[in-house]
Amino acid sequence: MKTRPLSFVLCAVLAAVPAARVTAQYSHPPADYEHRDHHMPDTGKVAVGAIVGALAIAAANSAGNHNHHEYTTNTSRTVHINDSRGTVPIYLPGVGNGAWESPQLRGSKMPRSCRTCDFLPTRTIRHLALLPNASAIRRSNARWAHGYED
Amino acid sequence: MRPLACGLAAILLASCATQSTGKKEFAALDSNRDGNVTPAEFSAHITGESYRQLDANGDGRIALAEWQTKETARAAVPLFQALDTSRDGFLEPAEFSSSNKKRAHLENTFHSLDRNGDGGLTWGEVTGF
Repeated sequence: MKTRPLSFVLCAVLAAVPAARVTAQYSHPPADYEHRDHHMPDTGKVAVGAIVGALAIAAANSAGNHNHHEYTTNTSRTVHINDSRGTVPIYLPGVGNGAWESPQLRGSKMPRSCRTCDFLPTRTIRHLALLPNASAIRRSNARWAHGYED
Repeated sequence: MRPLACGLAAILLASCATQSTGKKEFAALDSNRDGNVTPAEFSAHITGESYRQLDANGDGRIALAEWQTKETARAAVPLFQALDTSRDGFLEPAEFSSSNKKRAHLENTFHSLDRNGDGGLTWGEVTGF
């Protein structure tokens, strides 16, 4: 009988701890939150992606390359730009609602079916110099094609 | 003469259509219409576009509910709370544009586009001429 009040208190404390933890997590972000590697808002990525994608196509067109086509699904948008030396597929990951983001912001990855991405001609990459981190995208694509990344 | 004129018109129209790819986006970035996009114009355009998308009811501030309709990532709510420095449950334009991480992303993107590194972006630079 004497232990009952104690057990009630223990139960109350145990029940309150997870709730307090959740409240602390969501109502008071850590003071150094801005310095952590949290993500940019999705809407910002979409806005940047729209600009970068359009300017990349403009750059390819101005380089005498008027031959590009786009393949869009619900989850991604791929812009294939062709020239005399080959084809550069630019894979833009989707962020939902049919929107897509700039390759720079999340590290572009090609579908596994794109086995030739490792052998893109350097000159074609230069035509796409406007595209941010073209060489990084190429390396990322190569890793993706070889199954090193998910 | 008439078929020739029609053909020429078609070629001109096709040329304009090709040229306009990206031109519209560039014009939107160049808010003062001087032909040179500065980092401030670039950042302001992207931030403004994002803000307009998030402010669904157009009342000039973003409520958490509006935020959550577009921002579905796991860290979206903590990000909202971190940006809401006034703790009033709404993001005003100044609060929304204050994210250091976002600013860094925009600066990096701008510098990637600014091929000659002069701090400005022209249409000629975009098209390589």
